This record gives sequence, C-alpha cells and structure tokens, in this order.
Amino acid sequence: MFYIYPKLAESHFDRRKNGFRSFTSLYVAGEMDLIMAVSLIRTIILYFLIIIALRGMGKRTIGELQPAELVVTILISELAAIPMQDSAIPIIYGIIPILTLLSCELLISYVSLKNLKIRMLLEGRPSIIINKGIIDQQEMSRLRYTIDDLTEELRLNGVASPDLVYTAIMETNGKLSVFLKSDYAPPPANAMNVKAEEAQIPVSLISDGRLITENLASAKVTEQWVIDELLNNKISDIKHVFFMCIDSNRKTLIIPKENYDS
Amino acid sequence: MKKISLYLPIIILSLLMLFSFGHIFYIRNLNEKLNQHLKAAYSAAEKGNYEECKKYTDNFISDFEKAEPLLQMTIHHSELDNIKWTAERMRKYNTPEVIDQYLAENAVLQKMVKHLYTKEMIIPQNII
Repeated sequence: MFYIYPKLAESHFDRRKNGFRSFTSLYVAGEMDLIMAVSLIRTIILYFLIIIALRGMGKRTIGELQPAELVVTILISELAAIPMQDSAIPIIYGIIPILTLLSCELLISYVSLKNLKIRMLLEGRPSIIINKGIIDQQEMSRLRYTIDDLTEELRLNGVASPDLVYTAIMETNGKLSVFLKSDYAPPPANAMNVKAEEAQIPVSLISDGRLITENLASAKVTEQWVIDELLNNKISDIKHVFFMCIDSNRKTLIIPKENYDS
Repeated sequence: MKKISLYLPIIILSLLMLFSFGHIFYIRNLNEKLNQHLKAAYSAAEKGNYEECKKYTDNFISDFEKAEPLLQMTIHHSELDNIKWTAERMRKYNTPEVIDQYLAENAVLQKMVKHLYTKEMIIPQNII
C-alpha cells in the first residue's frame, strides 16, 4: 500500500498489531483528513500565487495576449496543477518555475518596451491583409489565413463584404482591425459641421446597496447629496439601491433593488 | 518605482538562484556526511564488527531524520520514503545470519543518497 506521509504510514503500521486497518477506518478516525487538508492548503497557496503571477503579467485579457504571453499563462496554470494534485511532490516544484516564468516574462516585457527590434522579434509585426481595397493573397498565404477566416473576422467587425474594406490589418494579438472605404464609413461630426460633445463616462455612486465613497470626489457630489437625490426618488435608504450613477450633466440613473417597495 | 518591472524580476531571479545553489550545497554536504556513515558501516559489517556497524547505521538514520523535514520541502517524497524504508530494513539485517543482505541494502542506500545529490547537480545530463 502506498503512503504519502511517513507519519501516517507509521501510525498505520503501529496499529497493525491490533489488526489491519483499512483506509475507510483511517478516514473515520480523521487521519485521512490530513491528506485532504494538505491538498486544501496547497491549493489555496497556489491559487494566490497564480493570481499574483497573472496580475504581475499585466491587465491584458486572454483575447489580447501575445502568443508568448498566452504560452506563459497556460504554462503557469499547468505548473500549479501538478503539486496541487500530488501531495508527494513538494510545493516548491511548482513555486520555483512559476516565479521564474513570471520574472522572465517581466524582464522580456521591460526589454521589449525599451527596444523596438526586440519587440518586433518577440511580438511580430502587424500584417496588412487588405491594402487600398485589394486583398493581399500572398500575405494571407504567409499567415496561413484563409478567405473564410477573413470573412468571419469582417462579419464580427460588422462588415458584410470585403469589397467595403479599404484597409484590414492583422494585429500581433491575432485580431483584425478594419477600416472601411470612405463611401461606406460613417462620416465624422466635423465633416457634417456638427459640434459634437466628447463622450463622458458616467461615474458609479452606488453598487448593490453600497455607496462608492471613492467616486464621490470625481463626481463632485457629497454623500448627503446622494441621500437627498434618493429621497427625491422616494428611496429612503442606500441599501435599497441596486445601481446609481451620474453623468457629466449631473443627470442620475437610479435602479432600485427588485424586492424593494418604495 | 518606474523600474519596478526591471528590478522585481531581477530580485526574484536572484533569490531563486540563491535558494537553488544553497540547496545544492546543502545536499552535497549531506550526501558526503550520510555516505561516510554508510561506508563505515559497510566496512564494519564486512569485518564482522556488528556493534560498530550498528553505531554507524544508527548515526545514518539519526542524521537522515534530522535532515528530513527540510528535504521534504525540496525532494520528491517517494525518494525520501524509499531511503527511510531501506534504512529500516538494513538495520534489521545487521546480524551474522543475514549480513549479505545488510551489505546489499547498504550499497543500495549509498546509491540512493548519492542520487539525491547527482540529480540536483548542474550538469548537461540533468538539464537535457
């Protein structure tokens, strides 16, 4: 029988004088819990390590990862899973490679930030797939990018046909940037002599019954103003609000909680 | 603060290298110490000096048990368990009737202990 922990094995052997004890009886006696508790603690440690490693790599989401970053992300999760599953493997076997990968990734990011040549080498360069309305078949062949891939990406960009496109660029993260021909592109406001206001992002003030105090200053309001605004809308307590935000014109949007009766 | 993305990985890598080299150094010393006990026990057993053989065997087990908590953090547990169980078997074979088995177990243990160090060495065979 295989024992993960010598102490557990010893206790098992010691008791063999009084008859063999099955793993079920060990479990009932609470000794099996040791193995589970170890797995639990290891999982928690590695979970936080993965979070730190991924946060350290930056804020980019999976869809925006460069090929090398994607590989590192997959590797980190794979490395963490090994000592998580097998208690006989020291946790350090997972920690050292994860920290090494994180450090290499940070170093490479720093170097590519400072050096354009290294950045080009590591991340590649964007490729022009459609140039001045003409599909570059040679470039598509080099990228092993089919016409089906192209039409699919165009549809995802809201473009029905390639002949509407003036320029399409395959970015280094694998996404396609599409620029329509001027006949099909929506005209900018200045082309129509219209004075358009810059879009302002509304500031959240209440989220799920909690006042976001750190946003009050940027919204130029006070807590009392928020309470008064709620009272104007016949809501007596912040806890009864699901969501509240304010825009640059001091116009508020208040969504009460479903189970709240005003 | 701006260069944290440069300094942080350098600090982490330096600490990891320090830890790795420190570990190799520790394992090398431990390997020498444990193998000295085993070799002394082996030659005592060959000469039929069972008391001295027992003394060296006990010294080996005691030194290994002292190092075990640290080794468990860095070495695969199955490797340590094998050494522990082989050492226990070897202790039981320290009698004139089964001394050949004692010598065999001792030789196996010497290889096992040496392997703890050789697999940590920075040599092409280990890297490749």
